Amino acid sequence: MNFSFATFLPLLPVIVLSLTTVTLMLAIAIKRHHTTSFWITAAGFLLSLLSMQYTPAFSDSVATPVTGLLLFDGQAYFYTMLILFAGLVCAFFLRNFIQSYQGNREEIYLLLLISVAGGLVLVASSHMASFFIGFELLSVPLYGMVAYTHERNRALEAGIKYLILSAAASAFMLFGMALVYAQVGTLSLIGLSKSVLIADSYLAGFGVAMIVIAMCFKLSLTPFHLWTPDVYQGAPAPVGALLATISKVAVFAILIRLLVQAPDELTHFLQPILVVILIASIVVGNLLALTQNNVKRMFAYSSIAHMGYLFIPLVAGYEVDVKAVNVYLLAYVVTTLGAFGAISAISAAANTGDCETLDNFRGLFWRNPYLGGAMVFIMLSLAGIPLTTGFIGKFYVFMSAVNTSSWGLLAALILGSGVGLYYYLRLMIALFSRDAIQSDTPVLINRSSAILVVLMAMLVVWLGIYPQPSLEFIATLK
Amino acid sequence: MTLSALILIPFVGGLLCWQGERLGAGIPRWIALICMSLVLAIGINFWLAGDYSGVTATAGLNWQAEEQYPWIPILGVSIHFALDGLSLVMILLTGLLGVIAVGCSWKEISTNVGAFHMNLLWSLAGVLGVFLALDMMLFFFFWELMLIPVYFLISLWGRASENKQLRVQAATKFFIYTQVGGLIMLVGILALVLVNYKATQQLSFDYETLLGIHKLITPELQFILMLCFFIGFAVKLPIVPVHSWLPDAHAEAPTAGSVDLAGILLKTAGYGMLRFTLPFFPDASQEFANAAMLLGIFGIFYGAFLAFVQTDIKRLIAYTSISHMGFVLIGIYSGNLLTLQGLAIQMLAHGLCAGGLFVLAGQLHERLGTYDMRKMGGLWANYSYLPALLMFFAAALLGIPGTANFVGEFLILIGAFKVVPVLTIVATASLVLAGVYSLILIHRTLFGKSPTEGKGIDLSARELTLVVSLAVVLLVIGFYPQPLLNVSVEAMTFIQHTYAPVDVSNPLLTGPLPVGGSASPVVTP
Repeated sequence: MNFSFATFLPLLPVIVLSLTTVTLMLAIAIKRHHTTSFWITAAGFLLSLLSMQYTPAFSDSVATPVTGLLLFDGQAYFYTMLILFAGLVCAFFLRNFIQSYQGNREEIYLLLLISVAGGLVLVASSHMASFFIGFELLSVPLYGMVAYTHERNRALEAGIKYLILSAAASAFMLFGMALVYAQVGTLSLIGLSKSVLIADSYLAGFGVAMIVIAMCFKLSLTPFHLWTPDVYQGAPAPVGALLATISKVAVFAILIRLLVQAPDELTHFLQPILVVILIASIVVGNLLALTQNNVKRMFAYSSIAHMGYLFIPLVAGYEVDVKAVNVYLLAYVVTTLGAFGAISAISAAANTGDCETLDNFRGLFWRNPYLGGAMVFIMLSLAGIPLTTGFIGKFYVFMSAVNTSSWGLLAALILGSGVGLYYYLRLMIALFSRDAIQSDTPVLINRSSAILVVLMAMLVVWLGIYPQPSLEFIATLK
Repeated sequence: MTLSALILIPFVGGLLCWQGERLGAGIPRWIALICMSLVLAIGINFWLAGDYSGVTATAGLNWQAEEQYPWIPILGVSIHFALDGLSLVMILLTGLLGVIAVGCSWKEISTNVGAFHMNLLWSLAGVLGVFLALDMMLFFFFWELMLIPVYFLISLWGRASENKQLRVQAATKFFIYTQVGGLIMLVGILALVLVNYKATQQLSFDYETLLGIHKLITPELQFILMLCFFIGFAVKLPIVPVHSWLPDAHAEAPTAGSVDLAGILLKTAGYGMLRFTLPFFPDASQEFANAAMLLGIFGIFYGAFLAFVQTDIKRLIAYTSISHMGFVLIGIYSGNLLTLQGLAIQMLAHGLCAGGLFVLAGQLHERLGTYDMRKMGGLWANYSYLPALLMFFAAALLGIPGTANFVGEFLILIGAFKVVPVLTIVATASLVLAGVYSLILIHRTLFGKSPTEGKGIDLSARELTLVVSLAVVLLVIGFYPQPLLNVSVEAMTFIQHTYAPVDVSNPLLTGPLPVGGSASPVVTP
């Protein structure tokens, strides 16, 4: 195989990001400086985003493989964009959050960059090897980030919990890959789709199932969700945003690719199991979120429910409705960034804990109308009310389910949304409470984070009122 | 442009109210009043300028005004507004009650006046959108949008009781009920659109495109989709098994919120059934008609009995609403021109009457500090205008001749008699119960011994104007409903023809119908 510059051109965003990582590492080695480190990171994300338009798949919308390991198509670039966008926003939240931290602050940017690079590899991988590398590259820095503020007991506990359970998931995944290889004889996902299977390919089917289980763990679907509330609660708010967006988007992307590429014989028997998993996720996520007084835990459970909704276009009618998934993911990422951003805007690393209880949000509207108002729209979007992007996402999921006549899934979706309203409204109305606020930690609002949350809310409304450009863009992806 | 203006005026006015509060607490009130007066004026202008009774014979759709702008072409969604007689009646009602709602909260609301009026105006903008939208997606947008401001109205400006949680709970209940109903309706809308897409490869949410779709659907699916629409509207109407949000929401809402809810929001459901459920699924609706009418009968009695035992005046009025909405349901599913025309009057009359009663209840609360009827009594002695007006509205509620309520109920019953005689007789019997709950309302509040001594502060000129204007409108329609019937006749003829192409109805007459249209003997001198 001839390698030339053109071969690696599609890889440009990943390359830029990796170079930024190295630059940042050198910069820290020369002199520790928080602000510089942050700006290097932000510039890296921006450059990486900008570099995307020079990549062939993006400009000509042709799927281009890079060696046998990666395949860059329109889908992959869409997820790349989402991940880079989320990374950039998280970096801003992280900066304001970590500024007051007593220990070393710069390394968290390194972890962030590496994790995002892992996400980019994961969404483009077309081979089990790159799949696994991306998967681990995404997760390992996250352990560090979750436990970064290790003076807080909860953060340390969350980090270790996530580490151990993730390791178990990875083991599942590796074993699954081995089983697939044992029967099919190829590690390439493309090769998998072309492989001719003998009638009873239990081994490979079991392997695919194990890989899917590992991914369900990362996506925190019931019954693999048990880590989610604890880790979300323990992790610093900006890291929570990262966990809830980047890691979900990346894993979802590869899950779609796997389900699309794997031959029907291997995935067909998975469908009923996935249906059970998704309904369980919607039920468990929504019911457990009902009584949470901790906003982070509430978001954790609600994200379980959202992942359940996201699975509907994936499994309804034995066909993957990629467009609906993409629209929903876009809505989910923007909204979740805003939601976690709001927590991070009123929290700081120097405090013993984040401002994450419902009480911390009580009366927020009167103290800061802009942040409070933004939160209203973000909550409405999470609940899927028209005028917000959350509705457009839910609308596509509905369309996908109606199109395939999946009435059972629709019932789960409707009931889940109904129950979900209760806790979203609870938080929303708390923002307007006039009662006196009693809380241990003083609520200070970080101005630049608050502005970013307001921007997210504006994006939420913009994508909700005028979705045409974004929908058109998603429709053109190949 | 005028139709968009109808929606934009309250919307922009709401923003102005919000910011106008900086200039003084009175500014938002005036802005809101001007906005709603403008809406009313535009509505009246449409009434005077339009010709609503011309083409009765063709029984086709004939929009008096229509506007269309592209919105989300990729989904086949456009901003499509149109107005016919049915919409116009509803818009007139919205405009009038909007003015009343602003007027009645003039003194009641003192905190965050700007935000209050913003929510009030936005909910009215949403309602106007519902009455004008002809694109199903747009309709659904407005349908859901009008709920959010009402949620805030109830939860933030609701009844000031010791336990604030109560009103938040009531608001949340209201929101969840209507949202779930809305989502079920969304399934119906999407299924219709997708059936159309599979037939024509054209994604379209347009009303007129979707009108003929029922011919492509199997009867079973048609029935299911009809149920989706029906449930969505039934929650809002409300119909008895799904009604329990209404008394709570009313009890906790501020007066303007109650006027808004009972007077206008409930009517969106009746409008939706007439505009969408019947024309979209005529066969399935006919199949379902008996069940729906039984639900209606049940609701009439259930609402009436529960109204009788209430001690909270607002809850009492709320339950009478449930009872009256049963009549609406019977009227809709009987589906001949008499009942449909009666419906237009009935919805209008109920909106005005319930609105008036809620305003009076609010005024009582401002004076006595309670909604509890056990703590009232002997008001005749203490006030001069208020008791008389309360008496009038209670009488209107039970539908005595001379009020619009009588015309509406009479037309509905007379029309339904040919279709379902037994049910109609049973429903007529419920008018006795209406008498009972109206009398108990009057009895408990006006007569007996007054717990407080001395004369109270009587109605101010503002309060008097509000209530008297409602009473006058009720009387005018009650004595001379013909102009109103002429407005709605064409739209209703269309609905009647799609629902029951062979006119099984026209029960008592063979000649031209006396319920509107140019053929009407009342119009042609």
